[in-house]
Amino acid sequence: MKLLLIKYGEIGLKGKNRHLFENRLIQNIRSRLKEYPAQVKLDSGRIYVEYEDPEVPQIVRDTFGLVEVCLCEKVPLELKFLEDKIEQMLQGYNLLGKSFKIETKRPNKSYPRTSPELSRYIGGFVLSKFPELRVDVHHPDLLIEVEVRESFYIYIERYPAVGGMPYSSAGRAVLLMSGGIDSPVAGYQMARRGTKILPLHFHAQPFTSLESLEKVRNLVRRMSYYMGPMNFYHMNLLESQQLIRESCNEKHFTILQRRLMTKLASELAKKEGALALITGESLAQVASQTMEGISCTNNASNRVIFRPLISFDKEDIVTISKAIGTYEISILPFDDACTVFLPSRVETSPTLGSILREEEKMDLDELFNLAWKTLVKEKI
Amino acid sequence: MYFDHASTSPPSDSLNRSLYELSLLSRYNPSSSHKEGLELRKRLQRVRLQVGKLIGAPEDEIYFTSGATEANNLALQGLCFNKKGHILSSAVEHASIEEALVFLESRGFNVTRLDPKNLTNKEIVLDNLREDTFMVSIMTVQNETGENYPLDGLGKALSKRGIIYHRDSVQAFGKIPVNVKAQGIDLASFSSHKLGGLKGLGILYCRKSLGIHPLFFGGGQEKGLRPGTENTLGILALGKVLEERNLSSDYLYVKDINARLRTGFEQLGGSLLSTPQASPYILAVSFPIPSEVLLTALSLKGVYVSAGSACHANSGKEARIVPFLENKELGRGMLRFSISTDTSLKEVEDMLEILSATLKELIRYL
Repeated sequence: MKLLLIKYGEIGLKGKNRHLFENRLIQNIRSRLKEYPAQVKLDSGRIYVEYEDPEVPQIVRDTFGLVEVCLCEKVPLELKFLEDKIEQMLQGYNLLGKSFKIETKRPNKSYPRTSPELSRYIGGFVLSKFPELRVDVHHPDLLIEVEVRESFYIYIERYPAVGGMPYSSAGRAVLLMSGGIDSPVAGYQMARRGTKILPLHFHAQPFTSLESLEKVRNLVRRMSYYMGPMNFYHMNLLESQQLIRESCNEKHFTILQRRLMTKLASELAKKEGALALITGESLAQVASQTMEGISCTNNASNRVIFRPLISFDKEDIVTISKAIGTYEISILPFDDACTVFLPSRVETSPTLGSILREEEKMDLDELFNLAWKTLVKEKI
Repeated sequence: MYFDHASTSPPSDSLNRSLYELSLLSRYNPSSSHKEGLELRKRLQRVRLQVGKLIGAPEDEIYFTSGATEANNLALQGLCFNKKGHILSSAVEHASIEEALVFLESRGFNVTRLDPKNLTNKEIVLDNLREDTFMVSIMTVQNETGENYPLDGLGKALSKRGIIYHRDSVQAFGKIPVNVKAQGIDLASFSSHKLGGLKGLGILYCRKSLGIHPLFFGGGQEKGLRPGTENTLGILALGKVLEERNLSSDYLYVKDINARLRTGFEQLGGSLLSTPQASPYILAVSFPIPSEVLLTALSLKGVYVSAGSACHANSGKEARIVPFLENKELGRGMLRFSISTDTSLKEVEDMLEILSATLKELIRYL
């Protein structure tokens, strides 16, 4: 049985609510490790994972809320065992010219030696076995941490984890998902801060293909690696688009459509107890994402709209997209907007007044219902 | 309602029911020297004989491959090994020919791709031969429109000049009469699953003493031209399929179904893209709706066809025949309906009803 020691970050600051976050975190780790014979244990403010499968450390590292994951060894509370284990662990390293430091913590106050005593003892032992090492208490190459509990816990190898807050600890939000690069990244950014994500996708079948809907499903599937099983919602905008086309000035089509999507997302948020919406908007990236355009869209919802990518360059977004594994799926050539319908020019500086006047030309309830009635919910 | 037989023709119920028995019959290795191996080898020979009979070739010029793509590649790359010079082909070949030609061009071969308009006239083909032409590869039936390129007499003329003649005959196999000897064809490719057999099996007819270099090496099966343990189940299944087919009566039946499709499409405002001389198994038609949209709409209603084009948002692939259509605009709305002897008149009527309703629905958006 191998052992991981898990360290979490901001949760440590949460004071009285700390145990709520801890519990959510442990629940999430257990969920993610459901398919593996692994045990997650909480012990004196530390979370440990006992596991066999080599895939487990990476899955744990990819759990939101964790800052660091350490490969840990555990031996009975006798110096001989401690020495043997440390010697064994260090043998795997190329130690020439390297420095080390021992840090000891002793939550188990019944153990006879104090932390400084133990550090000195182990330090001496290490130097005697590995004379090529030297001690450096400020910038050691190898930091050997020892914890004295019911056993000795020793760890040297540490791996950064994904950070953030435990998934689902911050409330829910509806994510407006296209099949593009940006929206999965926006969802990931918010999920990482603890937001439970409800992805909502708009298509226009048959003017959009079956493959493009499947591509979005695959994006959600990839996201579910980080976020667990999710509900996936989609609606058909074709009839609503037709109404807009028949009633309104072509150049406002994109904004009008985005406002409708925002209203539909808000209604879904209301039904599903989500207090916020999330979009992948990035300032000035495309014609509709100017400040004026975004203001017009913003006005369509009474819920807060998080736009985590608003200040990101495309390059930054692509980097994250590749890191989380959605890039390869996003760039598949099945777009969700058939070029048959795109307006020849898009108004980049719409005024709210002109947009509202356009909307008056339509029966807005009908516009809404034409799309709302096509809502489908799937489990992914 | 399945109208995509040119992509693949699903095995019949009768074949599916026989698969268990065929699996048992095919379970040994035909290269083994024991009784079961020899028995199986004999069965495979019988299928070779059946195939040979169908295409007018002796059984020892029939080679089994993993599919028509492999057969096409074996023919082209195998013939080109250690040669130099010019290859004459067409601009509307299947990807497995076209991509092999692109590869050969990168290796220094010269390739001319004839406009399909010229493929009805053997004289024009002959005019395009060069001093250094050593191979001509032109498909028998165009897979996107069903157009037939008989090119009678071409084989003989090429043979006189020592030029090797290959024909990708995938869409002709078992559907249009093919006689490789009478037509002077040296190499031809066929596919099992286009005829209702299993996938993973193709055939290369290869005249003796052609000197085709194998694509890979191994245990010497198929006289070393295509080593590797044979797809025994696929071969026996093909044998069963061939037993149950009768080219001429099948042709007559399918011609009737095709006729109904033609009148049906014309009544709905479709423009037929396949000429009356085309194979009745394939019918290309254009409607005033973008291909992939109509394809998706039909698919959602249970009608399955192929599209001749896709808008650029959806990988932008276009049927090879589109630039050569009389009216290129029609390419945007091109659909391919392909049928088999399993296609019933009722299925056609049901499909036409759905098509009619779908066209009416979609036209209001455009």
